[in-house]
Amino acid sequence: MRKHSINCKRRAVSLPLVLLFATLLLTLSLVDCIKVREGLSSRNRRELALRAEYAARTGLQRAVSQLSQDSTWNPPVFSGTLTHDPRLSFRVEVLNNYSSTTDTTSPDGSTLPAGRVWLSAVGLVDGQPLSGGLGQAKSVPVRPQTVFDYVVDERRSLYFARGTFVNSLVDSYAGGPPTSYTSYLVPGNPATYRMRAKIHSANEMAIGTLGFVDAQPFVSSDASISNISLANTSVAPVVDSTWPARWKYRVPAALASQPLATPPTTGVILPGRYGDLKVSAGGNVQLESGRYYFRNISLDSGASITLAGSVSDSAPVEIYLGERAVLGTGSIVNPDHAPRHCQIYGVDEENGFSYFRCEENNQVSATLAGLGLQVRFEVNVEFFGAMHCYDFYEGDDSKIHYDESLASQVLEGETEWVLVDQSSL
Amino acid sequence: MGSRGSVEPVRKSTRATLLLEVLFAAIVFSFVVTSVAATAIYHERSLRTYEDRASATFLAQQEMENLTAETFARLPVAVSTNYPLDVTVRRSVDGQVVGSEYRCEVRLDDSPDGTLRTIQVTVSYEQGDETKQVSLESDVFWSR
Repeated sequence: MRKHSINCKRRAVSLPLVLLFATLLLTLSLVDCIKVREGLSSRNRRELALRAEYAARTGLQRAVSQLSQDSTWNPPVFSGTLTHDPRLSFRVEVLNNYSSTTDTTSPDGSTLPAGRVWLSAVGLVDGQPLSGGLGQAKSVPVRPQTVFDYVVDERRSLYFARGTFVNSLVDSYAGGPPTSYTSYLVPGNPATYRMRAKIHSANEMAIGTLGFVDAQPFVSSDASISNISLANTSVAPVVDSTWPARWKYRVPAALASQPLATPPTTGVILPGRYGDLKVSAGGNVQLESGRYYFRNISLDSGASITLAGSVSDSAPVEIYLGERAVLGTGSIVNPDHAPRHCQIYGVDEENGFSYFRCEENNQVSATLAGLGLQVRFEVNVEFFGAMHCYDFYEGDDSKIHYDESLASQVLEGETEWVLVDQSSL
Repeated sequence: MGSRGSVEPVRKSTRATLLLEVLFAAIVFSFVVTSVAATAIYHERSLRTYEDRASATFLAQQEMENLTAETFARLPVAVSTNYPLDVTVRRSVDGQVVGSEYRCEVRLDDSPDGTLRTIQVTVSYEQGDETKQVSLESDVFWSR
């Protein structure tokens, strides 16, 4: 009887033990299964969220494209589908305050200033937004106005009178044609300083001892201040780390749709869309008020571009420069009119850049602007007006006279809408 | 004898039951262990799949961000210069470095009026006998 009872106990213990152990293993395995499943599900969700976010960004970009065609565009909701993946689409809420002169409140409660547009986009997967607010983006695009408050405002480094570049000068005058300018500056004599112009570089700035700058330098960092010779500057520099506004231009639609014509090499050129303008040595072309597109401009030695007498503040000449303007020795642009009458806009058709180069003994009265515009003054170039460019190179004997009447004046060049922020919500 | 004769059948039956019990337990145990082992292998494959795809997604995102940081005008140059791009991602598995090969390709499409460009970044990689892909797509406006 005793042995029997022991055998019964053995029988009673082994199976439950195995079952218990098996249950434990299965439970652990199940927990692991759930974890792996959650991990995979989370990964899928992250990937979908990423794709939805790019769909939302696409919505913002397409909305800005619509705005560039019509700045008053204001649909309550703008939607579309991605080009290659029809599963993904977007929905953009739009609040357009561009034409208004007063601030308003956007749907998310933020203040929308006059002249701006509020965009809020959500990326959709199979027509549905992702839960948890994933896959969203918003932006308040801006369309900067063309206002030349700086004599030189550039995105790269700005060096005046440094190294071997001698006799550089930056000053200002009340405005008007070059003939209205009178030399007033006596370096070292503060009583003669006007201190009206401003210069700005988004990167390094240096003002050496081989010239004089009668302008307020705005430098990107404290480090730049040490590169500025205070004895050669009328005003102490101020730190301003902001970048120049993104002024990107394109050929206005009415001009861009015209056939490309060959311009005459002398005489009057009417407004229109032209290929390469080449003025031979000593020659002259005259421009009427209106809009021009030139792919390239080349002035040979002693050649000139003048403006018709009818050109005025309200009827200026706007030149959209596709690739390059090269001014040969002694050539002149706009000797008789104020700089604002000759507005030159780089449209950056040469791999994102356009170029304006003066070789030697040139005189230019104009405003120069372009996101990718590279301006180069080699030797003895006298410039009246202001420039807003990607890069400015100053050689020997560069004289830059800021037209003070340009300050706060909105010029005719229409910049493109720019998404300044498209952060995820 | 009578009492011995009555005990013997009980012992035999008990032994038989015990044997069956052990056999049953062994079958259950081996089934469970096999299941757990199969699940573990499946999980490891899933995790490898997950890691491969996560790396591909990360790579696609990185390249997309690089491209959207380019100016509109320079995008075609950047694409023709830098792509297709072959990347080896190295991971440490149990102290051993394992490399996975990825190929990143980019397609650009311009809108009819030329003011929008669609960037499609596709990262492909081998998984077993299959070629897997992760694709991201975004448009950029020309003022970029």
